[in-house]
Amino acid sequence: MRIALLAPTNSSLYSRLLAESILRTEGLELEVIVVRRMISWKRLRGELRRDGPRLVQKITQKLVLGEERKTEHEEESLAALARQLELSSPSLQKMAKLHGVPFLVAPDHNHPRVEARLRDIAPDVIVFSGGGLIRKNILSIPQKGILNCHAGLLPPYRGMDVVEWAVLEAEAKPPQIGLTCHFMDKGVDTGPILQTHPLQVRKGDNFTAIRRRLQPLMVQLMMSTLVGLEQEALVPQPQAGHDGRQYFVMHPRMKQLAAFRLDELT
Amino acid sequence: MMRNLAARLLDFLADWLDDAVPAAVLQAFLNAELTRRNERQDLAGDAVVQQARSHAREAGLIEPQQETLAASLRTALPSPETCAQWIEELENDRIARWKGVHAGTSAVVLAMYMDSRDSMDKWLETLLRHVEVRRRQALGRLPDGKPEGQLLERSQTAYLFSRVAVDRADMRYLNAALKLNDWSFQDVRRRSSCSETDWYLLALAGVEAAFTRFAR
Repeated sequence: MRIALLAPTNSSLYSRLLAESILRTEGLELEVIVVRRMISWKRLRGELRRDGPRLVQKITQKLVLGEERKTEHEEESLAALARQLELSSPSLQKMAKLHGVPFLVAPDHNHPRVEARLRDIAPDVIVFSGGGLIRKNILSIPQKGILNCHAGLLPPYRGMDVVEWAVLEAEAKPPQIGLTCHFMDKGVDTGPILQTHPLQVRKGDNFTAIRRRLQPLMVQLMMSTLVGLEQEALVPQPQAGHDGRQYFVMHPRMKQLAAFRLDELT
Repeated sequence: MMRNLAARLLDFLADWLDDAVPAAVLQAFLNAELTRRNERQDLAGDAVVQQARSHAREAGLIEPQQETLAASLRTALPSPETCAQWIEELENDRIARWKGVHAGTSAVVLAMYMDSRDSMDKWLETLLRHVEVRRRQALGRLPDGKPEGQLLERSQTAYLFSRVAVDRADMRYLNAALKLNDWSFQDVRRRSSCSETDWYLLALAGVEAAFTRFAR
């Protein structure tokens, strides 16, 4: 099965682990790696106007600190998975060069250059590992679809901060936390579902620990979905719009309330 | 070592620039403004302020007293006839566009919600998405999304959302209302008219009352 990988940054650990796993899996061929350019003034200007000071936090978390911060010694984390897989390439570019995979950097994933390259390759599946919204021009290219792993259980929990939202709404029941691999469509997390993986809350858990535990599972679920698609063992299950709700970034006071509820649950 | 230092510096910068206003600051502002309006007759009588006072009591921020004021608040909003005409003039049933909303949209939607809470799901969800996606730029005035009138639209929408959150047990609306109030705080302190401040007080009190219910 022919695959194209879309990554948010050249150093994204999640994207590197996916690329490495795809390269090592029989039956899967990585045809191109597309990385979003680190600095795009147009994008930064738009995000600054929309998000204001929150943009600094986003840059801090996503680009400067990266996923490896404070997780180096954790057992269940992306860093631990990287050690287990003996991931050596510090960037996608180096990995692409090492394995002879075409590598492309573009201002964003919907750029005409990306579209032209993807049309030329005509992949069976595009693996999305982050980097903004995907427009119609790209959505229609792959034969099977664009695969995304969402850090929440679909259909009920679409959108942002869904781990926190699931806990906040759980009341006395166990919260609906987990992962979903699905094909992307023009909505937010509304595309057909391929696989889900629920996660149990443990005693003493906090949100950082839960998210850290979800990250390596995202790589594993994505890979098991790719293999399932290659073997034609998975049938995408469409979602109805009213099956779930879209959630948004949680306000700090709501996060405090969610943390309090999580303490009560554990 | 350098990475940790950079991380700490950026954490500090992010905290410093954080646009969320601490709850205690908002509650103190609400209390002080309501007290000021109690002491000054020229600021005291408005239905909007009285409704704010009622919600502040509900949230335990001021002394309790039995009263129901929703009917009197309704008189401060557009009449049913104005609302009906507004709907007729609406293009393609779209209450919010990318650049913003038509002047007075929030007051009309709040009035309609107070009259009949049914069959407004689509509009409420549209408003919620508009606020969450456009954030600080949400609720600008059409046709070009200018910020005039944005303060009033924000406060009326925040109050509407606080009611929707409670009525439908949907905390997404309370979440958006908290953000709207944060974004308006500095503007209200710097340059708001009396009516804009009154509506902001109502939005603050409505949100506090809703939050208290969910936190129980």
